[in-house]
This record gives sequence, structure tokens and C-alpha cells, in this order.
Amino acid sequence: MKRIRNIIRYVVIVILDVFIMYVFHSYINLLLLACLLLFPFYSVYGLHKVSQEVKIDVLVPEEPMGKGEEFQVRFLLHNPTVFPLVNVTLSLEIKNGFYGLEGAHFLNLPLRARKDTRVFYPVVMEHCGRFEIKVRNIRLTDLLGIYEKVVPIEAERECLVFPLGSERGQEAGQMYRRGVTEAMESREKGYDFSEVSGIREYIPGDKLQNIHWKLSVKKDELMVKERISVSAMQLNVLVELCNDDQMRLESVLELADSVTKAFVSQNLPFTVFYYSVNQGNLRDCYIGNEIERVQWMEMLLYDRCYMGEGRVEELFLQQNPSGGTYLYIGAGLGNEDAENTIFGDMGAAAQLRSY
Amino acid sequence: MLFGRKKKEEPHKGDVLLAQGIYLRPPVMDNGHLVLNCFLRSLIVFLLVFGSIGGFLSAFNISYHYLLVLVMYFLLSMYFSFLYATPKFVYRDLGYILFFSLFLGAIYVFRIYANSGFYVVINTVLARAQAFFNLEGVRDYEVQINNDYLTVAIMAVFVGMVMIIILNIWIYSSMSLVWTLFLTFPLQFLPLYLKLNMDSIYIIALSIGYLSVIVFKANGHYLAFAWDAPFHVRGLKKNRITYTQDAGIFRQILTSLLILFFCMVIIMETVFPASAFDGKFKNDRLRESTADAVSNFLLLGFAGMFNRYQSTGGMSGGRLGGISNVRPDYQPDLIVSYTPYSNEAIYLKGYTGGAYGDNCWESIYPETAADKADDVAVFEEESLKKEGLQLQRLFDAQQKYSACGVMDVRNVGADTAYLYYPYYTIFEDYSVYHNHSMMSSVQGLGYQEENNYLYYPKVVWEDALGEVRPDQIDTSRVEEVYLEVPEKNKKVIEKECERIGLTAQMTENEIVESVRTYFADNIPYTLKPGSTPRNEDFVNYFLTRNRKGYCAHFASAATLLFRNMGIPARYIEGYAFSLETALASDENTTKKYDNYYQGYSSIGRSTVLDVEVTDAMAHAWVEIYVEGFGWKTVEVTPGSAETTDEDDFWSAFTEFLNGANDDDTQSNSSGQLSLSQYRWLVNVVLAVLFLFVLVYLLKLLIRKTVRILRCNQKNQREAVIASYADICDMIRLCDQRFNSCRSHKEQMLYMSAHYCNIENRDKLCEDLEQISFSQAEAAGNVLDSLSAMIKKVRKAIWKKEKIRNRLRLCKR
Repeated sequence: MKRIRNIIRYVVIVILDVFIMYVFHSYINLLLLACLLLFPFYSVYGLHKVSQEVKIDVLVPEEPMGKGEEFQVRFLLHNPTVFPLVNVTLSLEIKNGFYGLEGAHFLNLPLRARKDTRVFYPVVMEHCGRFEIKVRNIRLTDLLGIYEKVVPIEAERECLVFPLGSERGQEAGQMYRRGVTEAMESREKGYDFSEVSGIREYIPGDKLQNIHWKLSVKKDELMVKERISVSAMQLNVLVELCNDDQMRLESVLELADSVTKAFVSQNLPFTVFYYSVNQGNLRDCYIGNEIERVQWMEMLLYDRCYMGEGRVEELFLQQNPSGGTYLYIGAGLGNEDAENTIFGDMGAAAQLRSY
Repeated sequence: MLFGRKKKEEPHKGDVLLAQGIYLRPPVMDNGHLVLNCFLRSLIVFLLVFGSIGGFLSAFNISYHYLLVLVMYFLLSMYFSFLYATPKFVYRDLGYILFFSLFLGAIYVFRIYANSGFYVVINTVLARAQAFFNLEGVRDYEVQINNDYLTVAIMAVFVGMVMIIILNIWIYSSMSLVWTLFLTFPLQFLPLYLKLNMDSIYIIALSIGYLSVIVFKANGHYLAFAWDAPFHVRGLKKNRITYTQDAGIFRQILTSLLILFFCMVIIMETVFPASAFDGKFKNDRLRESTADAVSNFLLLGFAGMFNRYQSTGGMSGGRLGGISNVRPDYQPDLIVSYTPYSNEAIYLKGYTGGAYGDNCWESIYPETAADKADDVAVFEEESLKKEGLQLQRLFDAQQKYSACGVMDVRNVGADTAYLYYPYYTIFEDYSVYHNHSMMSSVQGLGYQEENNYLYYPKVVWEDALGEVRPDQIDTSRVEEVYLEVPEKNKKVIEKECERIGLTAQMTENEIVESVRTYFADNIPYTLKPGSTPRNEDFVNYFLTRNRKGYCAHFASAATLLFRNMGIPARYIEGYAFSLETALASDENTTKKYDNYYQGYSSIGRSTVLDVEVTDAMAHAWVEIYVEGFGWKTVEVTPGSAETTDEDDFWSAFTEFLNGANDDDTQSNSSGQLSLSQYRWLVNVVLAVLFLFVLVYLLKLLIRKTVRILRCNQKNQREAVIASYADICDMIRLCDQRFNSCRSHKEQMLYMSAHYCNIENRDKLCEDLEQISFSQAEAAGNVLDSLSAMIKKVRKAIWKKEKIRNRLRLCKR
């Protein structure tokens, strides 16, 4: 419709110019007419050239961002031709891959000639998850708005947005103590229920006690012992990724973030279990340090949440029928066993359960 | 908080929802971009105004201070463009107020410069038009300051200033091509009509301006007010986001257009020059068919567009009512050499009107002349041969107050259809003037032709001429037509006689004096009485409604009044000039007094003067028949207080502001341009405004009525749905964030949070969803409770919203 309107407008102007030229015998209008007749060719030719050369790049932060933090999505449109375009429409798909929330919209941008057009798109995510942006195509419109061309371009980027859990160190520590008494006692005595599985370079955040001092002196750089827990009494943490309309999973993730962060900061190893929709079964992940925790969180956010009944606890019990204690983090838990429960927002809670 | 309530934090105010939970934040405005953006946008306005006004001046080859105009246009364009870059509306408004204060000051200080510049342009245009149309009588406006180079520049700055202000608004708000063309192109019509081409640079500037507007209009990206977010959400579904803050594209488009147009114009002018183009058209229908109208417009302005014939003063041959004003050109029409002999004005007779009808004084010559003798007899009667011979006899008898003079009348610009001779001229051969159709220019005084007249002036009217009652006049000695009053005028004339107080007992002199006094006291003289409306009688309109006029009005009315009272009277046109005018003229030393005057002179012996009789001295008066003597001139036109007919816009503007033109009498007597004649224009503008308001109110009324009907329809279920949609619209209008509430649940949650607590929200929400999306029957109480909730929310919206939002709601 807009194109038709633009065509009509332009034709009316040309007719008006011809009329004035004819009626007034005006040379000025002849010049104007020549320009008016040439301009559409210039405009369409320019569009054609641009459509052959145009490139787009989308950039998002490589590091995971925190929930509610603003981050920049950058669009870089490269037009090496000498023809500028005023209207280039990007067809965009924006998605939170974890929650499966998506939206599509069009972004109109100008496209400069012989230069990159950079547009910064400040985005903020209200929920944690996986921010995905995809450019499906670019619709180029000529200067007069009378001719369009769609250039199929696939550009896709994603960025993880982590939950920002609050400091729950004390509560989490107590909970751990109750859940893994043996492990706690041993740790206090200086024992460690773990074996060295390998040696690697130091990464900031590694615990001091894991540094292999002798080797570090020899190699003149810090080396760290990688450990595997051999304790049979590790705490199992079950995270329920079941969502509902009220988005209570957000609180669950925040609580899980708080609790696991607290465990790691207190050197308390644990195994996290969650139901992976991508794999269709229970996944577990041993976490002994912050890197492992972050990797777990990334892995979790690359997965998807699910709606309906919770699955993780049921599957865990099926796979571990021998009994024990585990920490269940989910939503909609009752207040009956308040002593063994850490409460989060919107009904989310971490509850120590035995079977 | 000590000093007030803390504002509730609004988490995503101003954000654009991209997907659920993902928002686009408004980025911080880049001031550099904004400034550059404003600068480049101002360039479009600058190019258009410079191209338009500069092109006009260049077409007429008027030189002016280019630098001053360029700099001022540039600064003004920038100034108004940057007003839109200010982050708050109040700054913009203050900017406008500041500018208008300066503008008023400047207009006052430079008014004479601007006026002079304006007149220089007008004079140049008229001179070109004079050459183009071969016009005569084009007046030259007096320029007070002779520095044309500067005055034209100042005038151009003032005109451009107004254009920039208006154009800037339209360019910024909607990139309106219509307004752009409307404001800039009409100025080019006159040069185009007069076959004048503007310089190439202006063509390029205008073309770039127009094409820029077309391009940006077609593509958007032109909204970049400082208060707008760089990402502008558009589209019905709100899913189109436009990035508006890119100055680079403006620069590139302008540069591309400049290069393209420059090359194109150069190539065209080389390959196909203007001289080659001119020969392509064989006929010129436009100019042939409109030359009269355009030349009339150039001479008389807009008033000339409505004239049925042009009037720059001079003779009209008895035609009345077609002109709205008289604008003499003050150029000499006749050169009269004579010797003054009294204080009385000299009348040179040109045309005699007999019967009155159809707004015209018909010629006294018969339509079809039976033979030559008939015409000669009429001419003898018209030229007062009998009276002249009587005075000649007195002079020959050396009567005390008798005299004889010679008058040379040379036509240098008067209508060649008429003779112009003094009263009581004795022609050598009356039979020469036999053609009754004087208008055919056969018998008139040709251009540069000179006639010498021998006349016997009646210097002193010592006897009691006219001291008889009209019924004592022997009317058998005059034609019946001189006593005719048309039926359509009868009533008005009789009423006017009553009003003046004329009675049958009064003598001729008393009647004449009463009419003269009444006119002087009650009806003002003006050269701009406005044209007589179609289907209106000239005299009736003058006496009943218009009550103002110039000599033709007074003479026509008086002629009919006298006739009605039984005095034979006729309408005369010609030229009249006073003794003062004569004395201000050049003395002709080559001509001897004795050859030009003999006999009694009430002012003593003087000298021969060459009097320049201009078209402003064209006049109409009355002749009445005096028993015992014959025809005698009667002057009934009151003296004019008009000192000048210069159209001084500033004076008129001041007068207009002072409200002086409420009374035409006052405005005209001040001698300046009367804006009252443009009252129709004001009325038209007011009518258009009124129409706009009316249409707006009507639309509003229709919208509101449709909405009320929809919300109160018989089907209660549909009414509830419509009412709910209506309150959602209301909230959307007040707060765009409501758009992000997609479900009824979210919407109600929002309503609860912002307006009033909705009890049983979940239940109501469920009910609403049920009646909205399913065909299931809804219980009456469910609908009632929903209606009550909607009413409550509606009430709360009106109560809690700010006045600004309430106004928005009113305008829905």
C-alpha cells in the first residue's frame, strides 16, 4: 500500500511538472523533469547494486549476562557501494530459548554508502535464559520507496543470561551439614573425600588448597590438582525446571543459584540433577568449584524448561532406589518442614528430603 | 521521604517489548548525532527557502546582499531546527517566544528598509510586466531608502524568515511535500509566466530540497525530535521499530542529490539549452487567455482579480459598479495650457450620461443616428453651445464680468475616445463631431494630439441663477431623459430625498446645497468603496448599504436625486483640477497671457501655465438645468481627506492592530491601506477554521455516539465485551505500557495495581474470558458483576489520571 502511495505521489509530481512545463513553457521545469525521470532509475539501480553487496553482522556479548542487566546487541550493516538507502528493514526473531518465549519484529534502519552502519540495540531480559537473535532477511527499499528487494541473510547470535541469586551462605551451609554429616565432619578434620584426577593450569577462582605447590615451583607457574569426589555421601541437589504461568521457575533458578553458589564458596561438593528436555532424561553434574558451577548453569540454560508436573524428583528416585538424602529445589513446596527448608520468592524453596 | 511520596518505580517505562520478558531499552541520545541531524535537516529547509526566494529575485535580475541573506537563512534554519532538538517542550516554546520578540523588534527597526526593499521588488516586477504586457499606467512605488542592494536583502530575510518558520514545522512534523510545494513554488509562477528563468544554482537548490522531502517522506526516518526515542515504534501491530537517529544518511542523501542534480542540470543546459527549448512551443494559449487578468492583477493586486474592467483612474464612459477601488497611477493624462482666472476648479468635460440603467449612464447620443444632423444637435447641446454663445455675446458687449480664454489640451495618456474641453467652449465647426459613438475613438482627442479651445468662462454668478423652484422650470426645453428616474431606483431615491429633507418648496440652489451638505456630513469619500455586488444597483447599493464612495457614486446619486426633485440633471465625466494644482504647475514662458485670456479675472492677471492633469484628477460631476441660463455644473462630491494612496503595509498593519479599520471612514481618512477590503479574506479564514472545528467536533460526536451505543447495546454480553475493550482503550491511551499486557489476567492485574482493587479478580477474569472466547451462555449475575467492575474501573481511570490524560480521553 505504501509503495502504491509512493508511486502515485511521484507520478503526480511528474505530471504536475509536465503540466507546468507545458503551460508556462518553462525551461526550469524541463530540467526538473529530466531529474525526476532520471531519479527513479538511479534509485532502483542503487538498490540493485546494494542488494548484491550488502552484508550484516550481529554481535552480542560473549560472556553470560546477569538477569536484568542491560547488554548491547550490535548490528553492523556493510554497504560497500556508493548508493545509500534510507530504508532497510531487518526481519528479526528474538527469543528466550530456555523458556521458549519468542517474538518477531521489523527493524528499519538506514544504510549508509561505503561505510558500516552500526546500530546499538540495548536489550534487557526480565527473565534469565538464553537470549537468541536471528535475522531472517533484509528487505531493501529504494530511495523513492517504490521498489523493494528481499535479500535472504542468516545471521544468528545468542547470549546467556544468568539468574542473580541472593546471598544465602549460612542457610545453605546448615542445610548441607544436615544433609551430609559425614562429609562435613571429615572436612573439618582435614580429610577430603576426593581423588586427584589430573593436573592443569591455575584458573582464577580455583581454591588455594588445590594448588600443586611443588609442581608450581618446578614449572614456574601455578598448577592445580583436579579432583574427583569419591565420597558416597555427597549431597544431591535436585533442581525442578518445571515452569508455570506465573514464571515461578525464575525464583527456583534464583534460589538454585544462591544455594549452589554458597556450596561452592564453602568448598562443599555436590551433584546437581535436573530433567533435560533436550535429552529426555535426568542429567547430573558434579560440581566442586565455581567453573563447574558456571558450566552447569550454562548447560542448564541451553536446555529448556517444561510445563506441567515436576519430573526430576520422580526420575531421581527411580534411578536411586537405595535411599539417602537430597536437596530438592522447586516451587510450590509446603511450610510443614520449615526447619529443613530454605524459602525463596514466589513459593520457591529448597527442601532437604530423605527417602 | 521527607518532602513527598516516593514515586512508584516503573520497571519498563519507555522500553519496547521485543518478546515476553525481553525489552529494548531506549538508548541514551547521542548529542553529536542529534546536533548533526538537526543541522542536516535544517539544510533542507535552507535549500528550499533559498531556492525559492533567491530564484525569484534572480529571475527578475534583482541583485541583493547575497552573503547577508545566505547567512541569515542558514542561521534561522538552524535556530528553528535546533528548537526541536531541545529536550523539553518548554524550551522550544521559550525559543519561539524569544524569536518572535526579536522579530517584532527587528520588524520595527527595519520596517523602512523592508518596505523599500519590497517596493524595489514590486517596481522591478511591474517594470518587467509593463514590458511584457505593454502596459500603460504602471505606477512606480516610492522607495524611501535608495540602497537597493541592502533593502532587498532585508526584505528577503523577513519573507524568508516567515517561510522558514512554517516550513520547518512541516518538514519536522511530517515531511510534508504538499506544504513544501505550497510554500515555495507559487513564488515561481510569476517569473515563469513572464518567461524569466532563475539561475541554475537556485534550480538545483530547489530540486534537491523537493527530492529530499520526497525521499524522506517515502522512507520515513525523519522523526528525530529530542524527546523522541531513537527507536521509534510504528505499525499497527507495534512490531515495526524505526531507528531515527542517523545523521549520516541525511548527509549522504543530500550529497548524492547534489551531485546528481548538478550533473543533470549542467548536461541539460549544454545539450538542450533554454534558447532551443523556447522555440518548441508554437502557441501560447495560457498567456493569450490570461494576459488581461494577470496584467490587471499586477496593476491592482488581488482586488484587480475581481474587477470586470480595470481602473487606474481616468474615464469609465459611464460604466459603474465593476470596480472595487481606484488606484490612480498619478501619470499625466492631459497637458493643459491656460491662464487661471478664478478660485474655482476647472472642469474639462469628456462624457455626458443621459439615461441611467444597468449600472451605467447611457450616452446621450441616440442608439441609431437618423442622420448626421441629429448627432450634431446632440453634441451642440452636450457642449453647451447655447450657453457659450450667450456668454460670448456678453463678452462681445464688454459686460463687466465677462471673459474669453484659450485653452490648449494635449492628450498624453487619457482615453482617446473622448474630447476634453472646458465649459462654454465655442467650437469652430460643430458638424465635425457627428459620430454619436464617441467610444469608437474616431472623434476623440488622439494620443499626443492637441486641441485649442476658445471658451467664455462664467467667472461670477452674480445673478440669482437657480433661485427658482423646480416646478417653475420650463422643462420643455430639455430632453425628457434628464428627468427620468428608473423604477428600481425610485423608492430608494425618494427615501433618500426624505432623509435629506428635500421638499417641493425648495429652490434649485437650496436643493443642491442640501444634497451637497448631506453628502459631506454623512457619506465619506473613499477610493476603495469595494465593488458593487452582482445583481445590485450601483446607486441603490451606495445609498442604502455601502454609504461610501468616490465621485462617480456621489454624482450618480445626486443626478437621480435632482431629477426626482424635478430638476433636469445629467451625469458628466471628465477631468477637474483646482487652482492650487494649476499654480503648482510649470509656467509656460513661450506663451503670452494676452493670447490666452482677456476680460475679467477674479484673481487678477497671471501667467500661462502648463498643467499636468493626471488620472487622479479624472472626475464625475453633475450638470443641472438652470432656468434662464441653461446647464450649470454642480459639485456634490465631498472633499477627500486622503493624502496619499500609498499602500504602506506597516502602517496598515499597525492600523489593523489598533483596530482603526473597524470604521472604514477612519481608515480611509488616514490615507493608508485599508485592510477592511480584505475583511472577506478574514471571514474566509474564520469560516475555514470554523468548518475545521465543526468537522472535528462532528467526528468526535460520531465517535462518541458509536462508542456509547456499542457499550450500551441490548445484548448485554456484547455490551460487556465492548465496554471492557473501551476501558482497555482508555488505559492504553493513558499509558502505553498497558500494551504489554496481553491476556485478560495481565490486564486486570494492571488495572488492580494502577486504578482500583478488583475483588474476585480471578473469577471475573475467568468469566470475561468465557464470554469473550466461548459460545457458552453467560448468567445474568455474571454479566452484572462484570459490568459493575468495568464501571468501577472506568470511574477510577477518570479519577486517577492526570489532567493531560483526561483531555486525551475527552478527545477520543
